[in-house]
Amino acid sequence: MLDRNRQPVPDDPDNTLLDARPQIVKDTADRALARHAREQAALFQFTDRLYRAASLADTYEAALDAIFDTLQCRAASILRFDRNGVMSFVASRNLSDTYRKAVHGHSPWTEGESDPEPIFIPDTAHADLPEDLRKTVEAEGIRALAFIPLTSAGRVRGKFMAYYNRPQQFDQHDVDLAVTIARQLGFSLERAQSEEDRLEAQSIRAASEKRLEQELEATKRLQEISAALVQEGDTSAIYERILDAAVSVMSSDSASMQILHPERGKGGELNLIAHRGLGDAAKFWEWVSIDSATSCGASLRNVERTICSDVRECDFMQGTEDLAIFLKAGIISMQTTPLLSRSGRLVGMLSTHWRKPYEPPLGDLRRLDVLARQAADLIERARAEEFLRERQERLRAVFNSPAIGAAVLAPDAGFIETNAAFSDLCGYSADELLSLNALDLTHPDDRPAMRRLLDRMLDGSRSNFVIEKRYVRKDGSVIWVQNSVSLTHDEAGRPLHLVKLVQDITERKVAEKRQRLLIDEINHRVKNTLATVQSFASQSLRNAKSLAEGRAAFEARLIALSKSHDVLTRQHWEGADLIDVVNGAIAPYRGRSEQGRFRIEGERLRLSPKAVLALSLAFHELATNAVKYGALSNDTGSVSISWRIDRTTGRFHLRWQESGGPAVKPPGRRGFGSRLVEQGLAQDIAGEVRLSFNEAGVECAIDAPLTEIAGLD
Amino acid sequence: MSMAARDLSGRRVLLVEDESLIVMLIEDALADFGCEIVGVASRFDDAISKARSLAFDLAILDVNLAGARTFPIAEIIRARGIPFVFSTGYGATSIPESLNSAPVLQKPFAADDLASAISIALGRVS
Repeated sequence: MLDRNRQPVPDDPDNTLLDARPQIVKDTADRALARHAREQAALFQFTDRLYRAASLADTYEAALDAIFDTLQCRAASILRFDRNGVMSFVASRNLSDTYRKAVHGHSPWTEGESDPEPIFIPDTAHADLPEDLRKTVEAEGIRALAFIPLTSAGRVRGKFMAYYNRPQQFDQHDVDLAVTIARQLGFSLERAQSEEDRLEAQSIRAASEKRLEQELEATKRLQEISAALVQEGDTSAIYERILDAAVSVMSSDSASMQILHPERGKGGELNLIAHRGLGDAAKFWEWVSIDSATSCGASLRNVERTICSDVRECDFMQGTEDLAIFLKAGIISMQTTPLLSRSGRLVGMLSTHWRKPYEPPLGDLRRLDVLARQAADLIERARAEEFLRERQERLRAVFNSPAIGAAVLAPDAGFIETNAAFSDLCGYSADELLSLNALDLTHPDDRPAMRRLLDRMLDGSRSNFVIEKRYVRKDGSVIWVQNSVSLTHDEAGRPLHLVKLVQDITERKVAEKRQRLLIDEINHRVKNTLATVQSFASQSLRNAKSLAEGRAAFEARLIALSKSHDVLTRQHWEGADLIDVVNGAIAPYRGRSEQGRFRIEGERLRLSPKAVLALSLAFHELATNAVKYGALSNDTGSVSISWRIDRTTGRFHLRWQESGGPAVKPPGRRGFGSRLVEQGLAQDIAGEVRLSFNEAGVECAIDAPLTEIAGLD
Repeated sequence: MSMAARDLSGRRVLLVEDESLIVMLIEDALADFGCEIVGVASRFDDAISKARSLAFDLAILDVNLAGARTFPIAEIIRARGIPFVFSTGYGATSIPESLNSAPVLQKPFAADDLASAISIALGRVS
């Protein structure tokens, strides 16, 4: 018989309440009515709760309450076949974990079985149970059980269980109650399940749609970046797009990109070149070194991807300023992926950050790797381009030098490109030069040499040459140039261009010529002067009465010659005034006598260098003679030197007249002095010189064409 | 007096030289050799006319005559089949090829060198 007086059992793991409850209560009509009312209320409440259940959990709770209320069991559970067809607990009350684990999967029916019958075991002690199951059941303190199938469309989908700690007599009323609950629960579960299935399907569809959308978006961005990379474009704009793509691909809150400067620090430093959403924190990571407590620092150390799913738990960040700044910026998780060039060289880093603990999915990382390869390519290319651009700029600056003509020519020496200095040099415009050849510009006399050198370069015998040659300018004038020509080759090693640097060396050439002439002239003068000195020596000695006298005469003449050179040197050997020549010649004698012994009179006359030398030497001989034998050999004599220029005849007249000296006796033999004055001077000035040894005083009359003695004024 | 100089006795010489002191030096030397100086020219035009008109056995030509080269004068003398000697302060390289068989005296020179040069010049032509 069934016990109708059982009360609902509250949670009571120790079974104290259950044990204390009286087993047999006198059945009365009132009690039966009350129980019936309670069961009806419980079922009604159950139905109501099932309708209002927002979730499966609510449904299970309602069902467990109804099972306890109506079947008066000590424990209860609800199980359902899972996706793999295994009977699994979905809800339970007053069952140990050990028990649930032990009976997991146990089912009297297989999934989908039709019209399953409830099973009641009044006493486990007498039931036909497998031994291990019996032990498990008894270990849990269970003595009676009810297996109530939950069906959908007549097929078993699960069960609910009621457990008792004493043997139990189950009557038809109990069976009806259990089946009613099972039917209600079954319908509800079916409905909830289909709703849940719908929602799940919807959410799966939504998620996969979102995923698909993200993937499409990511793919689109990757393609855009590929396209941008292929086109010539602003590198920094492409960096920005890569960052946008990284944020999109990784569903991250921020992203950053760094370029490695291997030359900096020990092991290189990373320079932040672009970021998304890092804000002020970016400043702190402008440069990151190899010992930095960041994911990029870690990746710089091991050249591998670094993932920090929660910076607060990341070993290498603990206690660092970096961590504080990450947290301040709201960054909780991050990953850094090394950017490797095609040759495997590390060129930079691509990082993404999240504001929550996050472990990026593998698929996202794979897409990021595609992006990273593109970023690495971009950096490589940008670097190569930068290098090329800088080099080109340098070369362009050299090419455009205002001081040196530069030209690029085809191997046939036709002009391809020229700079402004080159046009200045040759007088042809850049456009005119395009139809000209380097040999066209070259002076005809210099063409064979130029042709030879070009041929030797083109046949590979030499890689460059320097030649000094003449150009005929557009206006016909000739200039000297120094040409430095070198040859460039194409990839196949064929001659590609002649590169030519041209310098106008006309001034140098003129200076060289002038210098050569000057050296020749100096040489000529020195040699002539030495020959003059030789003549002095020869004449002085030949005519001397004694060696001492000869030596003295020679020295005096040498000094006179030297003094005349001094006069000329002061005037850059361009000539000198006659008055200066006269004063220079008589200066040695003037000093020891009063001024009155010389009377000098004549207009200013500029003499040629040759006349300066000839007159100086003549005056020296005359003065020496005057001191020795003439007007200056006593204390009373004087010398008058006067000259005039006859403009009508164009002749120059000079008179040396001595007076007041001892009576002059003509010399017995014509000496060198006389010869020098009469013959030498006459010859040098192409004039006539008359030397008279008059008794009253020596007289010397010089008569010469003005054109022969006058110098440039 | 050297052996070379002795053979020069009686030779008639034209001297083209613009430095009077050097003229005197050469005059003295030639006088010592027993040569006869038939003319001295220190001007280009004068030298040209003397080279054409005078009768002489040998000429001594200064390469630089008051800044002008005397090669045209040498050509005239060569054309007459008369030997000549250059005297110069420049190197021998400045003599044109057509005239470079003539002996060149580098100034300053000794009397013996002058005699040798004259002998060589006379020997080559005869």
